[in-house]
Amino acid sequence: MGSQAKWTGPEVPSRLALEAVDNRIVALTEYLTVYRAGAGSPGRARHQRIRELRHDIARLRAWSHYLRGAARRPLWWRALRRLGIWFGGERHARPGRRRPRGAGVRRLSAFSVVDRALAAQLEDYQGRLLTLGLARGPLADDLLATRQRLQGCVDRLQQERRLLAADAGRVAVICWVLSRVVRVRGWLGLGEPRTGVLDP
Amino acid sequence: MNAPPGHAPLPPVFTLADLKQQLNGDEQAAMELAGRWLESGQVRQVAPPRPVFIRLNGAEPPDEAQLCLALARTFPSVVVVGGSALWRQGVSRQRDALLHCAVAESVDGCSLPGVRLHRRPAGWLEAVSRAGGLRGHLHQLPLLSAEMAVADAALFADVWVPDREHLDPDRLAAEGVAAAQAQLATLRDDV
Repeated sequence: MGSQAKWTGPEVPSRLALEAVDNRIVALTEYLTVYRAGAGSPGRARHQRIRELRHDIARLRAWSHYLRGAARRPLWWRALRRLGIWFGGERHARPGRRRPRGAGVRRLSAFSVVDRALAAQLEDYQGRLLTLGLARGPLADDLLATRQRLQGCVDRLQQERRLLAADAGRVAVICWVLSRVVRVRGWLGLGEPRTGVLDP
Repeated sequence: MNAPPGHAPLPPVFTLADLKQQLNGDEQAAMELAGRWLESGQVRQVAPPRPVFIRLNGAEPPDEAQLCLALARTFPSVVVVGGSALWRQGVSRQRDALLHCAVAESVDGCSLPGVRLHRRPAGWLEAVSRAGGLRGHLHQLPLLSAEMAVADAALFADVWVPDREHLDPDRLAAEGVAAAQAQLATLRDDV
């Protein structure tokens, strides 16, 4: 059983973190659609890639549910949080892939899946900053304000990634439990749990 | 364009994440280097402001494989549409002058030479895929099937298609086009 250390993870998730996870779900779902239509290397590797994409999407959906639940803290959310503290408290970030899965395709850890979502969103903001940096001449006030806002988003997402890295084990536990709950609800025809909408 | 000191050269198409990795995770250095390369014109953002870059070799346009890779890395939902899909499936005898692609997301612009991007509503890719409207590939990019390409061009009316006399009627089933149009009709409200 893990430590009872104070959870430094998302008590109230930022809009940026939720946006990052939701955007990543959309992107991976589009890749999945394209792979299903036959893109990528043929044969077993493609099927493995499809399976891994589905798995990653399920874990991101689970994390998205968890983040949304943090706004209202219902009973299931508090129980899940407690489980995360008990069973995942001592595991820290080990980014990258783990467990070889046959020919080449390896499974990402839950932490890496969520971290990549944050990294993708972070790079999206950094891409905007680069585009803005190409503007010729002195920046107008509104462009300066935009740059400041984008830099603020970058800083916030970097902070979110640091917090997440300290809670890698808890992310794993929560994604594992919640993705299975969602799957069972799907089998029972209950659909996905309602979590409410997080205010911006 | 020089690779970061002590590192292997970057591929012709790379992301900000690739650059950070080359620089051992130093985000600030990666941003500064990317900014310098962009200012000097050695690289371009594929679709500003997205953090995917393509290396340019002077006035020489990138080859088709590189263009496709750049599009695939920038837009998960990119699909070859219209006359570009028809010509590459041998249904059209008239070749496209530009590679016409569609993406189901907002696009501010695309700086790739020889490529035209068309916006499609959310859910378009899913609807097309469900109808079996994706067939074959151009490098990494999926192509619309001939029937779906015609139905899509008719519905959105924003993409180049060859004249009717340049199409091979034996390879284009009218009932297939009608079925594809019926599938896309669900998206009509979003157009």
